[in-house]
Amino acid sequence: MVILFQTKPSLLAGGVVAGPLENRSVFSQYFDSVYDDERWQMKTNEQGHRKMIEEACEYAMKKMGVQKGDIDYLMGGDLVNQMTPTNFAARDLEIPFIGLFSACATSVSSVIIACLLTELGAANFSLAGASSQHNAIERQFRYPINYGAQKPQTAQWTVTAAGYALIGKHREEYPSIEAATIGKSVDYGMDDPFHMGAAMAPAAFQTIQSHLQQRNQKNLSL
Amino acid sequence: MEKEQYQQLEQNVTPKPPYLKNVAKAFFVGGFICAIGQAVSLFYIIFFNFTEATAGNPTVATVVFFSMILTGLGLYKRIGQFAGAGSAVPVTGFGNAVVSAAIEHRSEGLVLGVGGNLFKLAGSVVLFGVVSAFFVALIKYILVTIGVVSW
Repeated sequence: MVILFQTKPSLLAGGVVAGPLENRSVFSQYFDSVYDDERWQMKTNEQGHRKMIEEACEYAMKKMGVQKGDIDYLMGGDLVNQMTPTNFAARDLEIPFIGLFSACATSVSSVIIACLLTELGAANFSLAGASSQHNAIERQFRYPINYGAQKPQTAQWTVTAAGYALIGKHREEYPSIEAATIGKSVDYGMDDPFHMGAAMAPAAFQTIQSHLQQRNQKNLSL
Repeated sequence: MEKEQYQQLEQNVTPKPPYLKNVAKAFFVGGFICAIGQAVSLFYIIFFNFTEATAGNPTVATVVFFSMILTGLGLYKRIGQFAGAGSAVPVTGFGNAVVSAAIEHRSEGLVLGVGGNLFKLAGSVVLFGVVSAFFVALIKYILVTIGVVSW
């Protein structure tokens, strides 16, 4: 079922920080901050991960000139066990926090929850996003960084980046969120950990298809 | 879409690994590593008091040491990406598996981190190596006892 937001919450600002490899991507001009050191000068990858989240949130708040005391909710997650980086970032940000784990869909699911809270009138401002740190996630799911295993062409690369959006009540001059569709988990029995695109594609297809059908849209363009 | 249909589609769309190229790369890099091993072995035989039978242990120790250095410098994973089994199968791959796990888990402490995870990847090599050595020795012992072969 598609959720139609009556109040059309606005996406007021975004904060993105990324690592050294991501800086070489075509999106690098949109990043607020890029570090050459994947650990953000912290002792461990996980601590660097936490720092990225804090910085991304701070950039998003700074752009709208709001303080962390003005933010009603923080929604987000990462891929480390128990989402420790996000939890520690939430500790330092001191914003009421909802941790969300939907793997690659965490960023958009946290934005949807933020919109629902805004729609409900429970939040004036909320921060929603997701993050990952390549080395920390490799340790979580795959091999040690320096292990010489060959990756096939279809292998995905978990990025080192954090992206948080500041969601607020509808404002004319900002992009707004009108509708959202929560997708189903779809399993077509793909069991190759180095081919996650094939595992995730059916769920993405079904979600986009049902979203477009219910909104009578032909494509996702604006 | 049915599961089988999707799997068929996935098979058609996914790029096939370049098997022949990969085999050739693995062959030459693996061969190169073995040639280095042979050179080290000859070094111990010529310059030290080792025989062909006893030079094995110091040779293994030396090439594992080389692979550990390369792992620490972050170079072994690049060799691994290029060579695949060529750098994973020789004993240098074992050194890489041990050291990479040690580096990875250093942040969790020396005992529970490094100690507890050192053989995370290499553990199965040790386990199945010991088990298969036991059974091979057992078979040979039986064959010698019934007089088929001699030690």
